[in-house]
Amino acid sequence: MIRFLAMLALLLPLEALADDTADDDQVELSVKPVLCIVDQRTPSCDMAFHVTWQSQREGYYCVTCDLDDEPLRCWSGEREGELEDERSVLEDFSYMINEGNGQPPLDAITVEVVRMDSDDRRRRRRTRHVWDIT
Amino acid sequence: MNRTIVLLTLILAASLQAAPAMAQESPWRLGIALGYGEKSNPLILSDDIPIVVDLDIAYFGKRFFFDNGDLGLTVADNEWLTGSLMARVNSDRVFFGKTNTDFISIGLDGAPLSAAVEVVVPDRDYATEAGFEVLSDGSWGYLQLAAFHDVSGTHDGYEVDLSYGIGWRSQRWYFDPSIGVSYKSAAMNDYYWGVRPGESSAVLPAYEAGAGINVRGRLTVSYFFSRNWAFTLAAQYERMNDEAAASPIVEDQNVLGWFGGLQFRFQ
Repeated sequence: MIRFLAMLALLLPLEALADDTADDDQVELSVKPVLCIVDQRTPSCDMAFHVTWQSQREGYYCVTCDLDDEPLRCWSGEREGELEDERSVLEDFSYMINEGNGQPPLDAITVEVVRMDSDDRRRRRRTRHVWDIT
Repeated sequence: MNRTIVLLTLILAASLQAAPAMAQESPWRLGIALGYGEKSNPLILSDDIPIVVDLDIAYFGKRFFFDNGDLGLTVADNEWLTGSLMARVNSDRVFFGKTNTDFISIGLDGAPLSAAVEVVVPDRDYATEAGFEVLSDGSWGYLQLAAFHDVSGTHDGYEVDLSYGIGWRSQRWYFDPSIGVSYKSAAMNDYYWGVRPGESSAVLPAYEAGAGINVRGRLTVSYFFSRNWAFTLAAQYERMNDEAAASPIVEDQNVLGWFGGLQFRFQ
């Protein structure tokens, strides 16, 4: 038991060090809202998305959207930022943050577009069965 | 239990089949809601119908479709409407599966009987019905007109149903209220809600029901956690027609249903 605790005590600082290293590179992206409902009356998702990010270290960061070729905005020497992105969408799309053009994304958030309508109007029919309540 | 296992197996098999076509609209619509709800039973000596699982199993092909027990063959589909030939099993029989037997010692006139009389709610069968259905929708909502006639020789009657609904969103919430009316022919009404002379007793008089119109309203509210997961609350009210409500086997003209639970949609 004592040997086990001693080994644990030896391993813990290494674990903490590994976490520190990971935290240094950690960039968190946050988007609100991350879900939008569309239906026949409102067939597209027209809204302003609030995008924020923060990093453990200062650097050059760009927020991109997979629907656009160019970054939405880039920051130099910053460790956090935010932007408001107004757009009209029909399908799922993602916001990403990277360290400049061509760099792999450090974090990504997908905005889901939930469709309540359909081209097939039979999908909206109501059954009249006793057990069908939802 | 076996039925549940078979249905769940079908759902899983169908969802696997549906998965590669996710980019397009899959012909399958599959969902399951787990929670709790009840549907009141208008019959005397009856229990309410508990609802713990609500399965949604539907397949929509180009012409053929299956929607939770209804079979359809689409014969017209244009900008304005979709028309289909339909077949279904009338589910009013479900109420008759949740009845009890009792012994009553007071007659219809309020006088005590010489011996207790056994009161049994008469049994009724499921009916297979065929008909047509017309659907239309737009930014104004959706309209559904359907007419069904018994083809199984069970009640030999018919039903004409009209429903209207309109949905709207508010952030993660989706509201789907609807209203409807349903005309039930005398033959259909009498089969389910009438009491034949052979079924009557000192405490259950014979009764012949005429035609009537049921009215109903329904509200479904869903809060979406993601595309697949939602919390759903549903409430339904149906007022049975006066002819059915006047039957000695009916004790409540209003049928209330509600359900609250977590819903998963395979897509």
